[in-house]
Amino acid sequence: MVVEEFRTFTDWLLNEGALLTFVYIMAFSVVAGLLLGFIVSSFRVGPGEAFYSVSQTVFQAVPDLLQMRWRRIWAIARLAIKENIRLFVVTVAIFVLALSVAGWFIGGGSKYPERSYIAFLFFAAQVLVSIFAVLVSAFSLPNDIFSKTIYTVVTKPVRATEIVVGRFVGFALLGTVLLVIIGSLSYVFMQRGIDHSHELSEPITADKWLPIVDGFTPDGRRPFDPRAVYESSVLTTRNNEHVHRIAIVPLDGGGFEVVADETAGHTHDVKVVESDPATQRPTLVSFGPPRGNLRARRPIYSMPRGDLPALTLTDDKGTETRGVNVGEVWDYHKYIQGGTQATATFRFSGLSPERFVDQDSVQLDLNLAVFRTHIGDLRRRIEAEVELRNVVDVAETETAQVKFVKIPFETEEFKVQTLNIPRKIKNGTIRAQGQPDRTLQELDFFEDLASGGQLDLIIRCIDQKQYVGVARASIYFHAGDESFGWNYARGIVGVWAQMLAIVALSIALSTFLKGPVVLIGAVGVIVFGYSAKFILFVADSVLIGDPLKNIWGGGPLEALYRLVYQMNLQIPLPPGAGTALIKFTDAQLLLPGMKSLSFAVPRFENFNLSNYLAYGYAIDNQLLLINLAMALSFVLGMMLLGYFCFKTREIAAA
Amino acid sequence: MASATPTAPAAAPLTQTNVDYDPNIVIETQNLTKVYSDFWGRSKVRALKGLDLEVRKGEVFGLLGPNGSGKSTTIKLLLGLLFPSGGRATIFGKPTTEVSKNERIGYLPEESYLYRFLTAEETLDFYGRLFDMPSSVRRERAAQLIEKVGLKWARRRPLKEYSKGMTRRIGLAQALINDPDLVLLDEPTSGLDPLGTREMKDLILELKEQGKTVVMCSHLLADVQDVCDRIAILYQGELKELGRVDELLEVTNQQQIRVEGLTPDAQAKIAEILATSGGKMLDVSSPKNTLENLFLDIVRESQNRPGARGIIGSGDDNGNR
Repeated sequence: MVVEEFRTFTDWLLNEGALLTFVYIMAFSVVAGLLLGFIVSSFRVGPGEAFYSVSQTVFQAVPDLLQMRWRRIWAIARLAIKENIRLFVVTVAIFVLALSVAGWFIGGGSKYPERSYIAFLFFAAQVLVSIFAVLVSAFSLPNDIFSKTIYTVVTKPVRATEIVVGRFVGFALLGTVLLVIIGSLSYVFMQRGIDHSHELSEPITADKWLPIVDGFTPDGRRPFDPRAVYESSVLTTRNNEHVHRIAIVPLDGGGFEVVADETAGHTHDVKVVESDPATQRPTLVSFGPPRGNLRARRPIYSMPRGDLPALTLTDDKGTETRGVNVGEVWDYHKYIQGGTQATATFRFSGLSPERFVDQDSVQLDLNLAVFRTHIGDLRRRIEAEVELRNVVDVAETETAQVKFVKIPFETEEFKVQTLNIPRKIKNGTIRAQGQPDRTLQELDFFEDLASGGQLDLIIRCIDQKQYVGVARASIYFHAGDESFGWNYARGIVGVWAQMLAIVALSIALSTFLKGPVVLIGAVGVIVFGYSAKFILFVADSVLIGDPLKNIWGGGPLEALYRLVYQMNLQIPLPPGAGTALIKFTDAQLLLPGMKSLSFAVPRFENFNLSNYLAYGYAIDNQLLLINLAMALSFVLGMMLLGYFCFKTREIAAA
Repeated sequence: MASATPTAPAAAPLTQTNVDYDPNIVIETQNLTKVYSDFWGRSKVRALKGLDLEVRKGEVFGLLGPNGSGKSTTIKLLLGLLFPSGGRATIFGKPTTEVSKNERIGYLPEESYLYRFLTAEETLDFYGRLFDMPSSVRRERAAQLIEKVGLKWARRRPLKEYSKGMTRRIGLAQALINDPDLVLLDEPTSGLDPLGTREMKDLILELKEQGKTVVMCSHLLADVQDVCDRIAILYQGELKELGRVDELLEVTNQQQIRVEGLTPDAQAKIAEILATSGGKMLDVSSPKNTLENLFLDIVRESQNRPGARGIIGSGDDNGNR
């Protein structure tokens, strides 16, 4: 599943404490930095002089910040760009070379070739841009210091802030242009790679159109389109490793249309070229370009309402539950038992007509999992029911009218299933306390059910002894589609944010380390950032406790011990002073330290938004904002670190 | 080098907060000391020991000394490239770590550390930007300086294609981009041919005429003797001699007589008939030593008697100073 982040920017910043964490880290870093500077200076020049030096550094930071001049920053930025223009060209050339080779391998045989394309292209872009960012920013300042060209710069009225910020601006600009080029090339490459058409493998004669009787074809299959009256036994030519079926669907106003099935994540528009004069059935059709494989669905997910969570499950007795455990997959999907009172209630807010592209119907997308405890009727899918119900204010429960409508459907696994709910729904029900239920001829989705934008959506599994699995992201109202190109650009913004963080990190390290050491340090921090979630998990499991034993093997020192002695993770360490020391060091020093650090380093895996593109979802602006804020706050921290390190460095002592 | 004097916008006056600041003193060091330490803070080399120095406005000041004597360390301390281990140094009354002092300083490093991928024009444009100069001023100033250092023909070639002499010239141009009040030159004639050396010395004198203060350090003693008003001789981080060049080179216990129109006979008898000869006495003065002799004497004496100051001034074994 793609979507597991439902936070808004404000939630993340204020409620989840991102702002507070940032302030804590900055304050701690400043105090720790000054203290460290004072201690080091005290050893060298004595405490009095050290105090003077540290105070001077702090006081000079203000003019260094306020008296920055754009002209000087831009001069240094331009220099940084000119210095690395060759590496830039080489990187673009490597990417073009990679694309030309990749075309032989990507997408072949894949059911969803666009996913392979997006995964490869984003991986390549991330890796190349990250390597480029580290290389240009890690060696620039150390090379300047080594070659002493920095002498002619720092002896001009240039402030340390301008040197650090100027380099950042230069490298960030270069990286941005690189990303624009790589992104544009990737987009064109992907479009060309997945673009294809089909022809009929042979002409269709009248006898090749198989009639649909009682919802089944003569060979016992369900038609791919439930509206179909004929399905052709002639398939399309195999192109891009797949074929399509076609069917005849009658139109409401008379006549018919020919539709192609959805295979490999897309379908094609079908145009009738020739028809049989006697039966009017098409004998020759042409196919348009693929449709539906590159999309950006704009979903409206369920949201918490007051104290109520976005999704609540009840068991067969109607009691609130975490869902039924059906095995390993339980972690993500929560299962409800069929043929019982068990329900999954999704709470929606903000459903207004303006948010939907189609004003005549509302599209509900379902991405459900199914767990069968018996085979049942193989020709039928598991049946479920969705109930749409208006939200009644608790204070008005006694007087308010509950309006609802139930829509039965057959679940389709492993794909996004769409239910088109007409805006004017027939056969709704109205219920008022103390009165029998009344059937309404017609309900308006927005006025009667989602009045005030709020709606409860209840899922039930109808088939007994079968289970339907849901997650918060399983069901959403599909408000419309955004431009895929625009969504692609937003995906690239994620890579851009990562690039900014890496550039800032490398520049900060390069103010006090040599180029190769910066390279190793930056890679180390990036790996740490990618592993931050796991590190936090390990730290919490050791420090707080892990009754479910999700993590084995203890902290880093214990893990190292086990590695060296090739000891199984589940065997306890031999008792003794050594083990006590290892456990103490892990618990009191290493894990708390790593845990604290994990908050100071960006979660680099969050910058990869390619899954949204691959699975066809619009990247939420809130998520993009969170990513950008995360990257920029890290950049700010790194700029400050770089400034103080450069300011207090004896340039000519290197 | 052409002699045209380029014009540049005057540097903004520095905000002076030092109440003891004497505008006639451009550089002042008091007990300036530099000790190089290793990573653990242990002293490795005492590069400069308690240097007391004043450089006055408008003079050409030379720093002399053998390798490792502390000349470059002094320059780097003055520029803020190194931090003093003890004592203090000010330029224009400001601490050397103050960035704003650089607005009035031009610096030519020993090796012209410049960006080799830039052309001469781009180089000067870059350094002009660092002085926050507007575009039109940068262009005009760069053109004047390129003309002045005689590189107009190569102004669009990247510096990596320049010879050492050409690099020194463009290095000098970048040092003058801001029309500085104080010019610090580290081995200014290094890498220059005789003609270039002559032009460099002329330029230093020209800067002096314009009222600029020049501090140079050099191994080429003749160059220093030609252009410097005052010199300081350093040896192993200590100041060994400081004073006006003409005074330092004067041999005080000897006189020389310059005469005109003497016959060969008279020349033979000059020692005994000086007072009664018919020759016209033009001048009686002390003969001059050469700076090279003075320098070598100081170095030799310092090696023999470490820690002593002004040993040459007290006279040598022959009573000469």
